[in-house]
Amino acid sequence: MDVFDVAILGGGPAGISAGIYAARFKLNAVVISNSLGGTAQTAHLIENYPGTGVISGFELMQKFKEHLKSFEIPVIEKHVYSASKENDIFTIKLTDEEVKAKYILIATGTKRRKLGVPGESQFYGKGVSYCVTCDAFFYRDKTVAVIGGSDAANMAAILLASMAKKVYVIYRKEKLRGELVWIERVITNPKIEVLYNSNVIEVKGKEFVEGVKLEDGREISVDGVFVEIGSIPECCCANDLGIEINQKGYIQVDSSQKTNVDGVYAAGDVTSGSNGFQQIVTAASEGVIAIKSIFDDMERSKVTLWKKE
Amino acid sequence: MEKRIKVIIISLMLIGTLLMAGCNESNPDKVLSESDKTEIKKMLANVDSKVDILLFTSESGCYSCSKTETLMKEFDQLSDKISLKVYDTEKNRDMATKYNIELVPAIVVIGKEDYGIKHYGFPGGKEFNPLLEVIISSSMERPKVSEEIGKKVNTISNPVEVKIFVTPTCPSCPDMVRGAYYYSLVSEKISTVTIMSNEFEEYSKYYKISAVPTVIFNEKFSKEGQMAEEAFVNYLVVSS
Repeated sequence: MDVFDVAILGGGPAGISAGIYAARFKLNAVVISNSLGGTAQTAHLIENYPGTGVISGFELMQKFKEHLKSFEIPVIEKHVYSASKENDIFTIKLTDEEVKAKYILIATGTKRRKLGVPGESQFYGKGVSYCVTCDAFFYRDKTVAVIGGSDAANMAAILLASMAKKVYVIYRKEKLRGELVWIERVITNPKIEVLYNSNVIEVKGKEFVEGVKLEDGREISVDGVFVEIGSIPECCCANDLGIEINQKGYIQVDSSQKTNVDGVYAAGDVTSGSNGFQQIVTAASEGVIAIKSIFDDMERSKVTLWKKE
Repeated sequence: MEKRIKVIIISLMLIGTLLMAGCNESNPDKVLSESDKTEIKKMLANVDSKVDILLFTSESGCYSCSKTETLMKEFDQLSDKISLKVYDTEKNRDMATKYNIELVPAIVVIGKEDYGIKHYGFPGGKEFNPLLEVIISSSMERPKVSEEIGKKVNTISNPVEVKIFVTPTCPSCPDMVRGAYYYSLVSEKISTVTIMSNEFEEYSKYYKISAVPTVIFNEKFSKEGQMAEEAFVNYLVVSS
């Protein structure tokens, strides 16, 4: 079995950018992802990625993929189950095969955070959704609630307002956060009503969602609930390899994207990097820095070997 | 690498932005741009043997019949091995009955044999790639599966129709569709129908769809969201 120089786990902005730079550094790399394009694909509109103007998340990530493809970096579209290290070689177990590599770069991103209230799981697919670009269509001329107050929630509210009759944005704090551009669009949209200082404690309904119950006792009638309350890191293989995780659950990296385990680097939303500012542009940047660090490491190790001889 | 897998990987990379808007902005009478055509032609070079594409439309009115017919006629011109046949369902009731056409436009793919592949609606947005891939794959022999999966598939006792409800902007839908098409290619007992929910509101309401992807197995089980391969195969088995 071939041993790759580096196995890049994850196919979002960090993983794909890493793949592109790995090719430029002539590294024998492989990108492993069961969802090439990552969660960035679900973004309704991206207006802050330099050079692309206004673009959907899907289109932007297609451009990333096309760019990666131009370098003929192998892509394995499978789920990573575990990783182990023996004699300085990592073995990554996939659905039905193994990949070996000298370095691994974890760029597995995040998964959606759930509300964790009664009714949320019960009504998933029956009014509760985590993908506004997928499911907004089903709420044409209906009333919906977006739970959250960040950029993702604000974008979701704007997209839904283009179809739904009425959109509630239900947020636990006293003002929305994120880019002011999106906040302004939300608060000036006549179809959107923001309920500040409000916590959803239950999703109610019979066969489908019929409403949400708030902590202060109010009940809001809605046909759909879109949960946009952020994400949690998918620290693939962290336990397997003894990788340090910070208090918030992200992989701790230094300025070269190195983790506490030799040969393991991490990049993108899964890490503590970029001062916690999780953006496509910062994820891409971390992926690139990680590959440069791996390349430098490999070069250094060659020098050491030569000296030993 | 198996040719079929290679095709999927290449198409993922190449045709991503195709048909996102469902029209060619520089020429509204056409659907495919010249660059789309170039990329599709490259893909269609992988077609092994002749593939018949049956397009069912309706003269009496249909949301996307005209656009879909334009697209498929343009597509037909891109390979000698693709043969498009257009049927008006009212005038060709026998054919519509034979292929159990419930909605129009309907695209039926008949490759090396009838693998049971059907698509309802304009195949735009993210749903173009899986359709293109299965058109190519259907020109080949049935794929071989691992011994373990083969054993499970062999326990499917009766035909299973898999209906997948999707929207053109759903990022996780194409993978679900690809998976289902794959099993239609693997087993003659499995057929797959993809439904563009955004075009068929009443049909979607009938199946109580409010999220995509939603998969209906043989009208018995409904499952929302992405599914692991193992779970998908288990549903195939229990719904047969």
